[in-house]
Amino acid sequence: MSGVRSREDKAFVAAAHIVMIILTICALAPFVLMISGSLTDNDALVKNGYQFIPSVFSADAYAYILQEWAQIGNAYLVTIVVTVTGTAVSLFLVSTMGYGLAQDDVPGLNIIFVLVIITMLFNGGVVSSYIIYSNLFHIKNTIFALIIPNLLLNGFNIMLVRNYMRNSIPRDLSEAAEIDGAGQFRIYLTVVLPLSKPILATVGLLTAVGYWNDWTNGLYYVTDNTLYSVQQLLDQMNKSVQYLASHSNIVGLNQNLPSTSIRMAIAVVGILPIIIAYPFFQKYFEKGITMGAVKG
Amino acid sequence: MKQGSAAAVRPAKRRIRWKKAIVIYLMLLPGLIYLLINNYLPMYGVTIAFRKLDYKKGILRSPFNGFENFKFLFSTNDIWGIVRTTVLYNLVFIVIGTVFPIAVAILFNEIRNLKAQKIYQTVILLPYLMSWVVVSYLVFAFLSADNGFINKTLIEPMTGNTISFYQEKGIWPFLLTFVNQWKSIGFSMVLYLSTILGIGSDYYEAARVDGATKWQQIKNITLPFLKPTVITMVILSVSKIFFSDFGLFYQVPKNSGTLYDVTQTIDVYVYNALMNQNNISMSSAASVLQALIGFVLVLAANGIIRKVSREDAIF
Amino acid sequence: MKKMIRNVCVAAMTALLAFTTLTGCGGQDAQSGGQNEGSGTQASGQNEESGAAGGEQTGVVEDSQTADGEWTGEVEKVVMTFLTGGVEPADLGMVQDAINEITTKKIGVEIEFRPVSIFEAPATVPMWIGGGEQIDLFCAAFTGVDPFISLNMIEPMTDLLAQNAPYLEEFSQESPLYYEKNGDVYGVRVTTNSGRVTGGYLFFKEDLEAAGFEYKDGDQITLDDLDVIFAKLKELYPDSYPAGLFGSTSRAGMTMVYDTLGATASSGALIGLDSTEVVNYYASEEYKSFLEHARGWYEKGYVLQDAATTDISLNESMTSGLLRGYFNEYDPFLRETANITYGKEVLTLVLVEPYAPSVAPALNEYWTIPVTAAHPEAAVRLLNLAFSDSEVDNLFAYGIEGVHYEKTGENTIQQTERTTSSYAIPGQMGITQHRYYVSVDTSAEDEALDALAQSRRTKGYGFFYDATAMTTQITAIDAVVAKYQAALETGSVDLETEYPKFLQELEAAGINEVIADKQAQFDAWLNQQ
Repeated sequence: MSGVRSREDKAFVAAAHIVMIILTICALAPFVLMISGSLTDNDALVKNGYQFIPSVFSADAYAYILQEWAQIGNAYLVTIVVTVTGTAVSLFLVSTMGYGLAQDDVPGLNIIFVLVIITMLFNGGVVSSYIIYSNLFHIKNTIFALIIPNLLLNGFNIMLVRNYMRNSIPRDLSEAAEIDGAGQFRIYLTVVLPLSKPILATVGLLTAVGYWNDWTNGLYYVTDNTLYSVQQLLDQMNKSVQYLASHSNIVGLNQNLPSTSIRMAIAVVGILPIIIAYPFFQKYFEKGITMGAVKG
Repeated sequence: MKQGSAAAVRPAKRRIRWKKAIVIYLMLLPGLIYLLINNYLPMYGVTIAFRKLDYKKGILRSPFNGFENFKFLFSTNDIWGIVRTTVLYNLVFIVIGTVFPIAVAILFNEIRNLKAQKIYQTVILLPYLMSWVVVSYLVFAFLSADNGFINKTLIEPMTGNTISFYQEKGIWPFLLTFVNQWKSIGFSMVLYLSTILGIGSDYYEAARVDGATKWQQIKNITLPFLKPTVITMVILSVSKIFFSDFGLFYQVPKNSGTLYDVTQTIDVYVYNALMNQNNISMSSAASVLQALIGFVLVLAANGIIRKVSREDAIF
Repeated sequence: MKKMIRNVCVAAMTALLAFTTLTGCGGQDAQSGGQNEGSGTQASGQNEESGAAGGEQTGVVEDSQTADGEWTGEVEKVVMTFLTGGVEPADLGMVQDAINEITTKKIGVEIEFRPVSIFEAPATVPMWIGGGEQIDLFCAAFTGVDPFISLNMIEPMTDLLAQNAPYLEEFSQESPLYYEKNGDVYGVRVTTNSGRVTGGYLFFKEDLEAAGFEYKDGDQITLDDLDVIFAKLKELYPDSYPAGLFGSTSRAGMTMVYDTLGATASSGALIGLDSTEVVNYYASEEYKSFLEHARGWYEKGYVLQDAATTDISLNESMTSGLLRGYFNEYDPFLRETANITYGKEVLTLVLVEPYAPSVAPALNEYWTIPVTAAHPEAAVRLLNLAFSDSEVDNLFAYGIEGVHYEKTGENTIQQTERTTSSYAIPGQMGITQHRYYVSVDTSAEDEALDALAQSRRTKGYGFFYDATAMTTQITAIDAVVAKYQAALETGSVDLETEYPKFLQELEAAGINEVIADKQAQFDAWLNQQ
């Protein structure tokens, strides 16, 4: 970084901090409310509403989650396996596709790129996907059902990676490697991939969050409860609760629903791990990689 | 082998280099096979929109019934209002959802304190990780007239009254726009940030040497680099202009009927109308129509961009 | 449905917090079509009957059975949907095994539960069927049977029943059991009862006493009486809301006698016991009167301000003291459940005496046989057994004796802690006659109420409206109802401006056309009688 900073620079940095702090508060406040809600006695929550500091403290909601840990723990395991595998495979596919499509001296790439874009504009709907995956590929009740359908690769990510490789990676680098006699796959692996860290981190993050939050694949393709993922467990329960609470007039039916504070605790439990994992992605959002490479 | 390829690389630029092409094709192959299976094969399902469903014959073998399934969309006088709501929200979202994250990304990029960077980035991503159901609880926690945070701690002590936000149409367009940005900023900011991070520092160094101000640097370096990403994002948003995020428009306003004039988008209407019918032909008719109009608009938008500046068009 | 509810409630009684919320086939109608829920009747507790019924199997069934009821033919697998609250109950497999132990021996059927979340079932199960997956029994719980018939998703069961289900055939002669259309049977009710419908309002006894009222359980009141009671209660408990209007569930139906003739109120209804005229339910005097009262309550602060949108559950609202009562069926079972759940004595004041409409909307749930059934005969044999054999019936309903419940009397049981955490399951099939009562045997009271209801049948009793031709209009009407109903019925919006708009939009959506169609079908049916 250049040594001396102008006053303008400082003003800019100050403005940046102010904006980011405001955004941080906006994002944090509801989250705190959520955690506080999960730690509030349910009756107090219902009667007094959500407060930033629990009006009547109670850890019952978490005690309840602990009690159900056998199931939730297994679901965590499933989710982690699916997220890690899915993201890794996805990054391979999206980077090879992106690299290939970023070339401009290979015939037919335009057509292929349009084919990729079309996948973003049209889809045949979930029913026909379901029929194909379950009848042609028989992935029902396998771990593949949670990894493969829909989430593995999408046109949007391909486009992001392709544009980045096209616009932000100096062409002379790969040309120099070609002159050194490197094949395409080697250039991809040793030159382009390392320089694409910011975009791959972005795409990887999007994909990982996509896997983490997905419950639809589980819903359609999984009926075996050892393959339930965290979100399938939690989101389904939340929705059922909401549905029943607003549609039912029957005392007992409601009695059995997880209380409001438990629903909050469930939400916290669903989000925490990805927050913990997030810093691992962040180290790739670093500045100056490209510059260094060009100079070196 | 190495020698050969190096030799093959050097000659005339224009000539097709099949050796390279074959490797590239091979690299594209796994992804293409996936797209074929995951996206192209199921596209046959679009025909469901034109069929009279008959599970006995099989969904994809049901007889065709023309445009019968589209009728329900036009059986309400509200449909044009609903379309207008959907499109207007999308236009607002496109503008705000482009300007705001870019501004934030640029500002964020100025922050040199790594610890602060990490904290900001992690925290503003939090809302993106919450499901819409949870978001709807939290919005309710703020807005509830009975015990919501805003009514209980702000409005009531000051005015002695409470506001039933869920019955007040006026504020919802702003509220939904806010919630939408609030939830997506962490993600869309990262998207633009990755492009900004890809800009070589030497550009800025050179500009600084020339005495360019921050504004000039942003205007002349950062924004031009962001242009392809922006165009891509906008065009994609245009393709989705008749779609809406069901969670945002259904769950967040808690499906309050009073608010329908400002919250009922096409997807919400389709859901409400078909709730008792179980008819996937009709819902797929709606989405075919939504996608088709979006597709036409994308072609138009891309065409215009192509005319203005060829290399910025996405295809 | 009542059966369902009953069992859910039963399961719920000891529960504090249960992850494994099961609602069974019960659930609630997705439509908020304007009818009250949780109607129907109660068991009349005659467990002896089951023994006799067990030996009654005849016809085809007999071919593969030895004299003592042992099954000698091949054992076939029946896959049946099982509605959950999003999570499969931990003991589901255990109960499945226990049921199979009996069913493989008696009828050569091995069942396999296919759990599916109650929220997603309407979308998911048709997809499974569309994908050609084997589903032998599908519980059509949300939308009635009609949509599935018109989509050709389910098979007629007439012949299957005639050949494989002697007990059901006999039972259907006395009690409404089948869903029939165009002369074919398409569904067997998930639960059976006489289709009793009532309306009332449940209060805590101590509240009413503290307010100086001398009402007893079952006393008749009117909406105007509620005005007086609510006013007193509000005075007494200014922080609470005495009028239990909340969420999108319609309560208006609890205040009037009406019959939607097996469809939803979107297609019109008969109002009153003697009417043969299908009218616009939402435009009726009775409905309007309810709205006026609701608006009055809202303006006086008796109703939650967020009533139309809150998703705090009923139970939470009552135990926390947020609400002081709610519209509820006059029903001994619901009363007993509430007594236990709240730990306080409740009483229900009656707004509408028991009557019997064409079909209580909450009972509009049927077991159907999808086109992808691999063993339809076996599925019907299973239904027959579940309805005739009290052991199987109670297994479905309560799980395993000694694990999920303990017997406390000849007809009564108490559920264990394990029920709520691992098998909080409502009975998914069967008839109340064979089922145990949880805590209190209220059979005598139920019988009296049933008898009263049967003496008060609507003119549409036994008629089902076929809405197929009007699908487009009903779609539009449903959308209008979704827009206005909750806000109007909770009194949250200005009646003067919104109600006329509601009616006008209903007409624009074609409600009169649908009503005319319903009337024509009904008239044709009346002439045949």
